[in-house]
Amino acid sequence: MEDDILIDNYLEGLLSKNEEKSFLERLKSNEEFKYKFKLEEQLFNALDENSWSFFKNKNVEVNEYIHLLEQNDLQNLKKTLVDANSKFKAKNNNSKRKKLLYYLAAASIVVFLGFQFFFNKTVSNQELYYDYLALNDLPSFVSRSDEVTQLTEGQGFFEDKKYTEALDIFKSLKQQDGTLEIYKGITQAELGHYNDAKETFNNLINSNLLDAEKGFWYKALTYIKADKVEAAKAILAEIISRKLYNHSEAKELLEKIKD
Amino acid sequence: MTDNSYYLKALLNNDAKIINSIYKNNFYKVKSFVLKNKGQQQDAEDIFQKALLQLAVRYKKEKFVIKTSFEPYLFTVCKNLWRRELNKSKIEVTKEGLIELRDDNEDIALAVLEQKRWELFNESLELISENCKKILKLFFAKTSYAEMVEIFNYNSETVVRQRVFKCKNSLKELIKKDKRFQSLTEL
Repeated sequence: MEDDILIDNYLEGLLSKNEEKSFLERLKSNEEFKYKFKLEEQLFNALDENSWSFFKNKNVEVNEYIHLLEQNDLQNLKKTLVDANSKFKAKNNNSKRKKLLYYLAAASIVVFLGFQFFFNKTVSNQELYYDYLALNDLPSFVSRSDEVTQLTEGQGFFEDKKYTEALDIFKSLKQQDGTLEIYKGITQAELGHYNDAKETFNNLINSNLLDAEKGFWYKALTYIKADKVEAAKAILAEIISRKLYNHSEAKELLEKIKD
Repeated sequence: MTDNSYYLKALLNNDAKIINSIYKNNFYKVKSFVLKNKGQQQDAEDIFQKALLQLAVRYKKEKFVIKTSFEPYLFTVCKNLWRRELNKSKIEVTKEGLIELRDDNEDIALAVLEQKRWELFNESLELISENCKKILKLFFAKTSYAEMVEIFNYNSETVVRQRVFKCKNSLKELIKKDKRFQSLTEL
């Protein structure tokens, strides 16, 4: 049992420098200990959702798989997969375009009502905003078992475009949650409360949440919706240079923004 | 349909129609998983393609049987491949700080063996007692002994340590007895 504890401590990085040194020496010189350690290490990495147990030896079996993968039938399969992927993507883009048409139609009604001056600019920035916001890709709260009621209720209002009601709920929830902050910020932007939205995303950026860097992306989109193109450009450039969340989309979007 | 080899055979036969339907029925779920876990669209596309190649080459070599239905199995393989990608930086950075580039086929081949080992470990975990299973799942999720004392109402951390030790030993015994173990141990 002592060896088990020692191995666990090593794997968790809890040994002192000296202890670690003698541990590694023992690994080199003692086959039995090495055998015990290897299995522990594999279990430790494979059964922890946050890590992965890699295969390191390029043994006979690995070479057999490589050989099979190089043969014609599997090379052809690879081509079919590439093809299936692009077909699937093309179809999806079509449906995205349909959604865009809907927003364009909505935007043109607004324009028709008296904003002709801003026709080009308003339509194109709003269009870019909704296209890149990709609401369908936002994580859902529905699958989470805890605190289901309020979060899903808020999401429901959000999806029904009842933004005032949605915002009331999102603001009342106090937990630290990246997705919640993103919903809150988008809701504020939809209501035209751009400064509040900006503040929400700044808070997200400054938090230590896993989703913190997403704050840059949504802040950039908020600026686009508010027609503040220069500010949006600056943030997009930052996303690209620091390779933050959605940096390839940011690059694409930056090229599309009109002055 | 109970015959899970239907999709595996379709991959080996390069059946475009069935392959398109695999994309249609499964890709979105994988994409949303990858996007929620620090990935991008392109990552999801790569993972999905590698997963299907992994299944094809494995089926070609050993006609393995999927024990659940095809769709959740494919999702698990994709999830594992994404875990693998996220952890790659830990092993691929060489002493000079350069990232060692691997040929795609070699990468897929290694991933097949890793997936097989992961299956052996997880299937063995399902075979031990319910109580041990719970304890070990928490242990491998890096739950502290102090927390486990609270969760299981044990008297002390020493008791928990002993339980973990015993449970881990029964898990290891099961794994070592399995005929797949020899080829997957790398010892």
